[in-house]
Amino acid sequence: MRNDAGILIAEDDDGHYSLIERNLFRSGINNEITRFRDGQGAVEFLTNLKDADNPKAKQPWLAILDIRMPKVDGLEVLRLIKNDSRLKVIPVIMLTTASNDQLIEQCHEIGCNVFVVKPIEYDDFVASMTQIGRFLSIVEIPSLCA
Amino acid sequence: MEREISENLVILLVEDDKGHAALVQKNLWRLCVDAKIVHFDTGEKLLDYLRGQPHDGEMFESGRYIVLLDIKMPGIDGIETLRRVKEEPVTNTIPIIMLTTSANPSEISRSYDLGCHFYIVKPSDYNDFMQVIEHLGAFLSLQSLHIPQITV
Repeated sequence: MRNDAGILIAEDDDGHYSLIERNLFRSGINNEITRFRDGQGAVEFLTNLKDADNPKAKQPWLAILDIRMPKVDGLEVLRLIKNDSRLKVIPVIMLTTASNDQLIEQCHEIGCNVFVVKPIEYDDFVASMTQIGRFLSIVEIPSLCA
Repeated sequence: MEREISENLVILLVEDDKGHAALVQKNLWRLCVDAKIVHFDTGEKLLDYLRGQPHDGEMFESGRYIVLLDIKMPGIDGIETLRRVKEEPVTNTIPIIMLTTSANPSEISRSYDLGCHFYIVKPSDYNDFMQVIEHLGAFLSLQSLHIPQITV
């Protein structure tokens, strides 16, 4: 993953967020993280990224979204990204405790890039995040569409 | 809910370089021990398989799949193959990971624009290549990863 790629994380749970951040960092991902505690903040930020003159729109982005969040849920944020011709190239990782089959299918339909169920056991969660971090270190992230 | 992904996961490896294919296969097998790997040396053969034509005795049936797709291949290239897999309603949720020597930014953008799930550049150094395959395999073996079920 390019050093200039930004990581957007929408996660309302502080404990989960710090676990995600810490373990991405431990696996060698030290890209700048922009965090939102609810979906609405993420939606506003992403809406601004649609503006090509926004300096942040010139860098590649990756998004990690929780589903159950206050105000706007992760599904809506995913929809906003994947239904926009400029933002749709942003790889989206859905990372959630929700394990409802219908919800998972919906995320795949909308076009999430990865769906990961947050493991309940702390050690499993840490191990999952470390593997995801290592995987992210080998993938290329595109610039937003011109 | 089905979470034992590697048990019934089929990895469709599309790669014309026999050496690369053997390396990828050998190292993925080590990590995703339960996944079946089916190798195709052209994009056309993958598309034929997805249309129901048997390949090496394997049939495309309902299940969970991941495509690892090279770009530079004889016949239709990986990007065109990606486009065709994504335009078919039956196959359009199959995750496709581009696995290619090309680090060309326009190919990276084009692939994501057409709906590839991830894009990975194969390093030319042998050890680096092995490490990439190891990280890919470890990721695909994650119990918490949910791969879409395809219904044929």
